[in-house]
Amino acid sequence: MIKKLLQSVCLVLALSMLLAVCAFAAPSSMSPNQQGNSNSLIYIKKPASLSATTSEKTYTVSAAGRPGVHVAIYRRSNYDGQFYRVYQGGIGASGVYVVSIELIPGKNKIRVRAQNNDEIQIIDIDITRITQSQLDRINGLSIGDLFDAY
Amino acid sequence: MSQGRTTQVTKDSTKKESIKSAVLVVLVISSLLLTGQIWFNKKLWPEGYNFFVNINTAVVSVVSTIFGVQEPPAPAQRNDIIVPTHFVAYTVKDFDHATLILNSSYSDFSNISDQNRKILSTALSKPSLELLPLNETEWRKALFTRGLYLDYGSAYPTSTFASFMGVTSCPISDTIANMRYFVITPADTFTNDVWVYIKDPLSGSVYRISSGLPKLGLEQILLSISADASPQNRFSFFLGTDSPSGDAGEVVFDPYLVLREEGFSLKTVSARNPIQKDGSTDLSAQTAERLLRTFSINPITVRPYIDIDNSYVFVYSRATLKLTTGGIIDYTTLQGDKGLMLEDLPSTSTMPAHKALTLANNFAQKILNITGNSDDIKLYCSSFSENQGAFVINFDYLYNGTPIKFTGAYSGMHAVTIELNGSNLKRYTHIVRSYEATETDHMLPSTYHAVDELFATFDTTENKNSIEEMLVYYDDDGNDGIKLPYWFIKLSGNDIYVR
Repeated sequence: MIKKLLQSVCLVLALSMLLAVCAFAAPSSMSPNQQGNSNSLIYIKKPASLSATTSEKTYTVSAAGRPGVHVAIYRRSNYDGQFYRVYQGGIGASGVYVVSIELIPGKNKIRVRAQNNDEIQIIDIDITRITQSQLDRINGLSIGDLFDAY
Repeated sequence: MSQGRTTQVTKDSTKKESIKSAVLVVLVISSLLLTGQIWFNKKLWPEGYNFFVNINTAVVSVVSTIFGVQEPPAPAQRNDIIVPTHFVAYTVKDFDHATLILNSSYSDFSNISDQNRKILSTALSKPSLELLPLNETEWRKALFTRGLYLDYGSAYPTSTFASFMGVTSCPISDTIANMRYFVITPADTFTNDVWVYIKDPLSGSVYRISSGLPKLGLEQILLSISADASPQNRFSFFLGTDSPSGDAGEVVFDPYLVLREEGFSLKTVSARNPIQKDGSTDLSAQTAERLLRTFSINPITVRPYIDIDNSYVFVYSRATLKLTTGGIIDYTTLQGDKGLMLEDLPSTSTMPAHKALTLANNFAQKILNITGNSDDIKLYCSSFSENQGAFVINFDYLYNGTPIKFTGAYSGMHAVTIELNGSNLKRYTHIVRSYEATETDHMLPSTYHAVDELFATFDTTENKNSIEEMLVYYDDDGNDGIKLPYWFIKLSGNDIYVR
């Protein structure tokens, strides 16, 4: 009897711990259509217009939000269109959140998911990474124009 | 029977004589030891150093002179007395913008520092007609690709700063009143030149001037540092963290602070007061004599006394020299007195700023050498002010490229504070410390975590959310022991660093 009681107590404890973990961890993947129910948990500072073009391989996303908000970063898969989690963390007392993401050449669709209890905010960011050859062509075009003008 | 009694008496007498002899021997030995202590231990003569110690010191001094052992010459002007508080090299590597924070612990720092000085001194010698006025946008553009960013910590009048760089005539001082911030970049593709951008810290005006030097040297430096540069160190303005988002109330950083996304480690150091032992001031006779002579105090004739706080006080002529148990050397002159002459200047000439700095540095370095500090300590000028020929110069300690900040009982104090009137020393205060590296690494958090930890201790109702400065210092509270490096943060509108 006592043994069964102890086993039940242990099971309840384990379940409650597991639920707590599940409650705080962002899902490992999200569908493209998923939406949030808040727009005041987090503000993206960079990129300012939620889209950017860069030649850099490493892009740093910066945001501001309320301390304690949990933030997860997702990258959209070109294979199945789903968003898969690549980073997660929390906003500290400073209210600043910064994360560096490795970009693949071409379009990168990044999703920022912020959660505070039942409030969830989802922001999608488009970052296009131009290749070195594209960059060279842009640079070369300027010089070519200069000589063509004469 | 009487014979037996006689034998017994003889035995008793012999025993008594033996005891007397033993007692006498002990007394003689004790008196010899005590005499030796009185003669050769300086602490037992209340009037000061005793006759025999003075003789010993004089003999050592004469013998040293005969055998050519001289006092080490005063050090020549060092090029690194003025050091930037922020010295950042930025470049592009593997398609990423990457940044390296430089200090004297970096292997090629000496070469980079020499190049930097050469570029700045050449640029500062140019005529003001060559100055090109720019704006903040151009300043930020210059920080985008490749170059060096320097922040010298405080505003200096342009002519003073130029003199520190070895420039005697600086025509651009007519246009740019003050200097603190510089950006050095290779010129554009078609020009073999090095451009120097200068921002007046008080007016905010930005100018660019051509140094006329070939850009190969600078490009080689930027290539060499690229291996160690990190794409996760970024200027604040790159990340948009220099301006508020509006509603979040988050912390904002000075636009030109380099924010580190990853933690890093530094060795801890062991600190010690080298002139204190068991709660009292402890100096060898030779060290004390050299110290006194540096302040032009005659060690033979001066009479010290021990103050109520166990400090040694030497009163001589119109000056007082105090050595505290806390390791502070404090020299003051009477009001109205000219002070200790460090260099003979004609009465009509004025002391140029760079000369005052060199004199002050040489004097402080001499004291540092006498008190036996470790070779890894450097003094750097942390602030310099001039008012009609009078100078107040502060130096602080730099250990292996990382500065040391005094907290606790010495909070707010500098390692050395010198007041000069022309070439005359009016006041000198020096916190004597000795530092040695340990084998222990101490992990420092990223800039963001450091700020999170600090702000977690703040009252949320207080409006403290703008960071003007963040630097890593060794925290020295003045006690002997292990000292750790920490992030120290200065909030806008505050003069105090907190951690």
